[in-house]
Amino acid sequence: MRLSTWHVTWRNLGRNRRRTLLAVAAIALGQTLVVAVNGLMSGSFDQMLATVTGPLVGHVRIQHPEWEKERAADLTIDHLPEVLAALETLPDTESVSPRIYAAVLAAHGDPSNQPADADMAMIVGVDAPAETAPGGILEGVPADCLPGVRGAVVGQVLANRLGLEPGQTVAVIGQDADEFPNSDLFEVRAIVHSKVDVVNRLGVVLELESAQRFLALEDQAHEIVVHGADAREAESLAASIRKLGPLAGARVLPWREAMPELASIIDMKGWWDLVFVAILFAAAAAGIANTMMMSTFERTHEFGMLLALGTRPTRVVRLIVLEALLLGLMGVAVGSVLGTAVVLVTGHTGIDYGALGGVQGVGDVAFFGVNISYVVYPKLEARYILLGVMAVTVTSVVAATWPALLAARLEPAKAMRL
Amino acid sequence: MNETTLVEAKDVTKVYRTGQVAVHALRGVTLEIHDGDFAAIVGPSGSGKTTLLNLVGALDSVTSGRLTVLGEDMTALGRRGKADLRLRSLGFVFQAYNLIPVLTARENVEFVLELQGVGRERESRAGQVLRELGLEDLTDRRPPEMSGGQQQRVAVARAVASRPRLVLADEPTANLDGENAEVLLRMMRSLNAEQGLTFVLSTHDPRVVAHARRVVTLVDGRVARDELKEPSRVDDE
Amino acid sequence: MIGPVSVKYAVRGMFRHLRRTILSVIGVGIGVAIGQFAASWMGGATEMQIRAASESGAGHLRVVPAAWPETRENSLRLTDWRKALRAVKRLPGVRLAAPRARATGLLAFGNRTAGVEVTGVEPAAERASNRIVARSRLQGRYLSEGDAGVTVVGAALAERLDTDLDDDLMVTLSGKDGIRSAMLRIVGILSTGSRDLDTSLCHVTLPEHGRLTGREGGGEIAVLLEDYRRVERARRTLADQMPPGDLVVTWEVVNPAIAANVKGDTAFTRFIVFIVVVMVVLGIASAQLAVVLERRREFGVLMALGMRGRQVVSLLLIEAVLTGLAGAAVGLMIGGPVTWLLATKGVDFSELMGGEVAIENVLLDPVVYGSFGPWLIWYALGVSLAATLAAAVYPAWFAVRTDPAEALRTV
Repeated sequence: MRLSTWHVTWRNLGRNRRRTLLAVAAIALGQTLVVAVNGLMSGSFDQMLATVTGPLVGHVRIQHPEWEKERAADLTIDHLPEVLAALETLPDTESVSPRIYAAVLAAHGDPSNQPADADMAMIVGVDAPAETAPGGILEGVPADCLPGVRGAVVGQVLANRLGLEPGQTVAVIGQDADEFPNSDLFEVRAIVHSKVDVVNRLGVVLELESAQRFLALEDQAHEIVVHGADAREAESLAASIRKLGPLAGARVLPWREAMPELASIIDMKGWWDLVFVAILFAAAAAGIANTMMMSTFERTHEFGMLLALGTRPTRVVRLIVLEALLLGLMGVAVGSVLGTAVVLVTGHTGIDYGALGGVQGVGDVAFFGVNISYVVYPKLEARYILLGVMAVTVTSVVAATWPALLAARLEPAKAMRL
Repeated sequence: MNETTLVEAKDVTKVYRTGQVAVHALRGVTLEIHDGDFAAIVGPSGSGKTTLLNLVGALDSVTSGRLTVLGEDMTALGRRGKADLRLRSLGFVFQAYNLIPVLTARENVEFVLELQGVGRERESRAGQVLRELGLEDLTDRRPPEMSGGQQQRVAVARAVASRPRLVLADEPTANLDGENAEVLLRMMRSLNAEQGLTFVLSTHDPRVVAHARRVVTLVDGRVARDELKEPSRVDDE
Repeated sequence: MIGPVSVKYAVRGMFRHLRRTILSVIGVGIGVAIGQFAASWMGGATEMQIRAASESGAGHLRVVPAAWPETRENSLRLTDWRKALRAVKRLPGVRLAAPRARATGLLAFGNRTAGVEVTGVEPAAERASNRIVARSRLQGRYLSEGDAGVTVVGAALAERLDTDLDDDLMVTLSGKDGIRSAMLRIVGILSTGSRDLDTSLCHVTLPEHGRLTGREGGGEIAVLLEDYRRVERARRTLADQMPPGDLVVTWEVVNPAIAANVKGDTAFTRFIVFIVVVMVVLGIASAQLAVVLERRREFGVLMALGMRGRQVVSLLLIEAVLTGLAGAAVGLMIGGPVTWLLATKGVDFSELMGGEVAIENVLLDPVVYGSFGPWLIWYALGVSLAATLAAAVYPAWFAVRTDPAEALRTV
């Protein structure tokens, strides 16, 4: 290909500004939407992933091997401080939350209430200051309202049922790890509307030490929830954790194994997103191909003239293909920039698709233990841009090639008469 | 302005752009066309013949100078006004691609009449025009079924069907052989003589010049010569 | 605006440039078909989730005591559950009706305890209407009518209590007049595949439930309809026939979590489909425009003959309508069979998911059956006409701003 072919192509595009603009616009639109929608799907997938692996599940769960099945209070992870210290040494861990769970009955601490008003509840022993971080069980609870030594934070629904308010006491009745009955009173420091549904419905959240004391446990916990940087790296994080000395014999589960149904849901969403991305790709490709084809077919007269002037048919084809290539590249360049801009801006502000779909966020409803919001934050992923670039450019070129080949076989006079 | 002056041009210039290039098609044209003229505008290629015709025919806008056509100041007339002028008072014949290929001869004539708002009498009027010009054999034929000469004659029929005051023809004989050219010119001459239609033709065909009573020569976008002459006789061979 | 001759011109012109017209129409058709597929899929997604919720126990409708939606108190009972059940079965469009009663209680075996919801059911109806029962692996047997002193529990629950078939459990419930206990023998163990579903599953027969709690009768009747789209209408009809003190609510009220999820999913999907349709419309429009751009010379000739810009646009609008209609027809021909296949055979994700999937008390059958119906026609027409007419808009702007000579000069 001589340099002059590029030159001619470029000037040709400049001469027919409207046509060029239209083709570039169509291609750019396709690429913009491909990038933007991919960003949307990516953000929504990540959000779902974060939701299901949220405060309750985490990325990796560490438990006594039998605890999941039996839920007996004495099946614990021992030597907690060493275990926690070992976990902190791993570079990938972002947060480490030890937890203690026990099924109990809870009642209003005021002795005038009937014992029959006791309700099923659950002690959740946590490292309270750590759980106030974003994504924790106690997210949003101010520091002076944390459980502390003799206090508890009660879930909103439970508090409603028992008629509890901050400052009052809650009575907790249960069994300790040795199966001796135990009861105690705690001061309600705060009522929490937690993101974690089970905490809302049944939770009496205590400081880890308080829970350990209630259950006659030492440096033990039932579960350690570990968050890494990326939920998708949970398997390798689990592998690293298993190698740690103090964790020998513990059951270390990445979330996919811990909650296979969540894995199914996530996978389902993955396939779902794929279907729609494929549909969008098809729509974009159809639009671009249609435009390029129609545009090229309409230029038969022009090609006839070129042929009449003595241009060889292969050169005519090359010119057309080259034009399509240039248009494709320009289009994806513009589209990529626009698409990226859209993703970055909406990634910041979020898209309230609930409002667009005519739905209000239902505040008190939880799904997978976390309250639902109908806002999505698109996320940019470079590989989708590249994918789009390739797909869109190829579509543009292929769509122009067929008419080009047909044009090249024309008799010049006939072509010019059309 | 003289009642019989249909077109008055004073220092008219036209510059247009194709891509990067600015073309100075007319560089100051001054002339008048009078009622009943049968004028030929001649000159080499690029002299601005077609451009001048386009300007007079309200197909294009003047760059500078004054141009008055049928009493209308072309610089002041908007696109709507120009379209109206074209529709009601002007007839245009191109060098080629005059007729709409998918319509018959009669429908081609009807097309313009319809644009003018003529109602149900369209069909009969169109048929009549074709008959008057000896073209009734072509009534239901489509352009691909006609020869070049026949097409041009139907084009003239269409141009005059709307009873314009001025007919502009741009190189009407360029694609025709001797005999067809002659027939076409005679048709125009007789319309000029019998109905008083004013014709302005741009051409570099000597046969056209032969029939003209007035010859305006353009060179490089300016009027080089403007003279009256004796036209060839219509009953000549 | 323009007359018959111009219309002849437009129509015959479309036939003269046959390849252009055919490509146009096919282009429109393909775009329309893609849009239809997307819309049909969207409907299918919603249907799938509603099917999951309703067939996992919620039912499309539920007859409940009037106070239940507020308090969610499972000790409430229907005013006359047999009468209500008869009314339900008489309603046209009802596939199944399953009465139930629920109570929160504690199961104990040895020194192990577990909190459960003890559900009293009508075995035959429950098997038929509750996917959780029908599709799970069963050890032993399910309940039969007339059973007494027996229960069927979930596998994870059995594990937690370390029990097996034929073991006797002690059940303690809050009954009509205080705490009551009784013994139940395990005759069946259900493995639903979901730990959450398993751990709270404990079924007894309805009469047994009445004996255990001291509260006779059904506390709810789950109703499965033939067509989920008739939910609201069926609800109103049924509500009229209920004894006072009983309400008929939809699955959305019964399971707000799923309802919210369906709404959210639908909103999200609608958003995506909207984008797809925008892409389709703009894609078609740009292809149409590409053609219009190349016809500038033609428009120049028309305008030289005296046609005004507005009239040229009218011409293009006629062509646009014709192309749009033909394109819609092609779209329906291409998309129709595909959508029909999607609606009848559906797309089965269960291979990829490893069977059925449990979400929040619901067992999902991951097959998408697309929506199919007369709406497809309106959809096709809407999309194609929107696109082709939009493409005719640009020439309006262009035609008003160009001198015919300029258009004629176009090479």
